[in-house]
Amino acid sequence: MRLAYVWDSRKCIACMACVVACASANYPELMREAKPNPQWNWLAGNIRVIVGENGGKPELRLISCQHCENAPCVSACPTRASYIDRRTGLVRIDHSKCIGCKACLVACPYGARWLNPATMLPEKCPGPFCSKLIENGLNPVCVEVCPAGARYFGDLDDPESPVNEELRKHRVERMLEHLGTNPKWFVITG
Amino acid sequence: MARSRMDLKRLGSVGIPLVLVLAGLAMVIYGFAKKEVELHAINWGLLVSGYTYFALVAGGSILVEAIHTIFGYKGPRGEHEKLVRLAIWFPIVSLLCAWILILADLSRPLEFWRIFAGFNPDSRIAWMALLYTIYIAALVAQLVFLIRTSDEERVTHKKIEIALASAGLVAGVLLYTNLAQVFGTMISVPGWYGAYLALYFLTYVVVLGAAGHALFTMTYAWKHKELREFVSHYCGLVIASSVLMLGLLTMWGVVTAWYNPQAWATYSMIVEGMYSALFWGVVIALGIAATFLLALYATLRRSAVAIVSASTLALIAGFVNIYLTIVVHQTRVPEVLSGLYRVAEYHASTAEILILLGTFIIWPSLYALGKAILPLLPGEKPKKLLIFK
Ligand code: SF4
Ligand code: SF4
Repeated sequence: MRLAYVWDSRKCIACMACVVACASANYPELMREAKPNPQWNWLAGNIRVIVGENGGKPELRLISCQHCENAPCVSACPTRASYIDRRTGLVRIDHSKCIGCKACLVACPYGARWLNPATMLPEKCPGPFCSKLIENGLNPVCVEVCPAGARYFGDLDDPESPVNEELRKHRVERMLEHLGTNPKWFVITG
Repeated sequence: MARSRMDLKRLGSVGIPLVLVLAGLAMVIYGFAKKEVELHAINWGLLVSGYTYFALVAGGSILVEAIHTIFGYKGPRGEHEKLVRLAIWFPIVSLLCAWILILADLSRPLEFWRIFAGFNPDSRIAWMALLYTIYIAALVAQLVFLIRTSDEERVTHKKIEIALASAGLVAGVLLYTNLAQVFGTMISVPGWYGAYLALYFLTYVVVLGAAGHALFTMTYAWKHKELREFVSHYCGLVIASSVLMLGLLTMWGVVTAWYNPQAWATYSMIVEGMYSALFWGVVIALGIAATFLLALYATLRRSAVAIVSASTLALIAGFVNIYLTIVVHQTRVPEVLSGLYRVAEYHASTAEILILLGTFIIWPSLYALGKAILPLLPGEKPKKLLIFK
């Protein structure tokens, strides 16, 4: 199984429902604080937002873990606390093995990891709540709450999965593909 | 009366450094307890810079020392041979300081053993832990060997000595190449190039190692004319020649980065932005130009004042440059959309400063403590518990 994410940039209305849902579902205890993710100066969630410009128009990207098949964070981790879960293909963190060296945070070219101010250990997508949902065969919260239906989640190895259906129909890109990370997070651009 | 004065002096030579080591450790522990995630912080800051610095300082002195043990150079009147135990004690102390800083930088230092338990061969940090262990073990074994064997025995056991020194040297070269790759393999930070950093770090190893060795050894050699002149001449020669190479490599790094817009985003901050005064004033003017001239003067005139000044400048400028190299390149890294950068505003926290200061107190104090309790000086022999004076 190779679970993957698809985000349709044309459908996204930038309502931030996924950003807030991720933070409140996965890190409710941190959300109660004033500065829940100081490193990003952002919510204690696994999705951050960047806005650039393309031909004079604003261009939005939602950034979370890309579940790279050739993951720099996994190579950098000295203790194998960061690893690729062979059952799902998702990149996970086993916090019990983590020593907090922050190599994975430096290594991730997407800036998809952040340091939990309570534990001083790295966090990333999927958070603890979404991990349970995925283990039970359900979608992560960002996909469930998206009012525009711009997010999909599913198995790349299953031709019938919603992600494959979308990938067949549209023009897609993967972010920073040239770095050789082989991300499993697709952006529909047309 | 004379005896009690001697005892008091000995008590002071052990007690003062011991108290300072404990004070330094207390600062490190207190600082560690106060550590927290800072606003917009980078991931590897002051502590990783300090760790890299001590690691580099430790590497150079083993090169200085290997010239004696492996290549048999003793100095014109055997001066180098007389200083060899001090020359090994210095990198051991520096490595311990590097360990303190890296452990203090971890969020869970007590779980450090997991690096060995779950060893990931793809990880440069995992290899660092292994190579460090081999390196420090080789150094300690070498020191114990030199303490335990008499001059006559050293001649007959020469092969053991060479084997231990060679193991230390090989582990050292691998260690520093690997240390460069800890940074160089991070594709997320364009300012760090692996191949360049390996050469840069190895050159730094020689400059800082010789500078540290000269400065710390002078605390003993100063009172002995022939040793003082030898250290001035020998370390002056090593520093003068390697610092020129360092200057060349530093400018090469700048020129290469100029052709890469993503690397230039941070290099420009160093060369012409907010860090330019530190770069041109401290790193280039003091750390390269002034250090070269003073080291050259020291080697030609055997001037102890000149070598102490050159070494001090090299050590200060070296720290500044390592800090710039590690910290600044993380403060602006490319985003997924071309032309955008993720910007961090790093200022070392009070906790980090406290930990670093504590380690800088431990460094000379532990060296002095070793000099007081171990037979490291010429002619000293172990009398207690196999290795103690
Ligand atoms: S996006 Fe970053 S954290 Fe996620 S797998 Fe890739 S390198 Fe690792
Ligand atoms: S911080 Fe933890 S997960 Fe990240 S590289 Fe270090 S040990 Fe691995």
